[in-house]
Amino acid sequence: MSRRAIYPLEVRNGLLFLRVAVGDRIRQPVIARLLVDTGSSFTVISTQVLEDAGCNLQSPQGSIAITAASGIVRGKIFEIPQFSALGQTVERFRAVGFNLPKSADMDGLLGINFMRSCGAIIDIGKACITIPSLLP
Amino acid sequence: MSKILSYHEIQQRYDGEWVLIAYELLDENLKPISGEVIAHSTDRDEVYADLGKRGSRGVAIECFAKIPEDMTFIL
Repeated sequence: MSRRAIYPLEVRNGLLFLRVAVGDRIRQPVIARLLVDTGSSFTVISTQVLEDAGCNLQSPQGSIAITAASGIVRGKIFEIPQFSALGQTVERFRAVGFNLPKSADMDGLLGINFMRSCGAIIDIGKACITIPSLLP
Repeated sequence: MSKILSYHEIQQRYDGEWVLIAYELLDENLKPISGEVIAHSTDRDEVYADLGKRGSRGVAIECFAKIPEDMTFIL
């Protein structure tokens, strides 16, 4: 028997957004709004939000080449102490710190890595994500 | 003195702006139900810069800015 959780997405200009919680396990988290982006391999979050969550911007875990619509740029990878979305909480979640243009009304991108890890099923028509899970 | 507003009130009052809300309550989708506005600006980076004002409070970054009709996104 299966149980499913359904998370509604916010629709703006035809795009789908999800709120996530980014934090350091000590303080209450920052709620940020990310674009649901199956074209993004990694989750991307603004550097200021990462810094507030306790990431040391001077000490990234590594760097990665990002193929974006405008060309190839390098992004730095950081470990977020605690990241929560879609009913899942991940400790030491790795994300790319990158500031999207100011005109983008979002704090980052929810990448396919996170969505795949929780088995997300995206329904574009209904603007929701379903997370299937088995009852014990 | 802090002033707690509902999400709807904040949206109406700060239409067109980025807002940093010290939330009092969140719904099950992490959307603030009510809270105190601790920063607002039409410039996103000014709101980000005020994250340090939150102390240990939980905050939500909300954007009520309008996207120009002739703008599209290819990320």
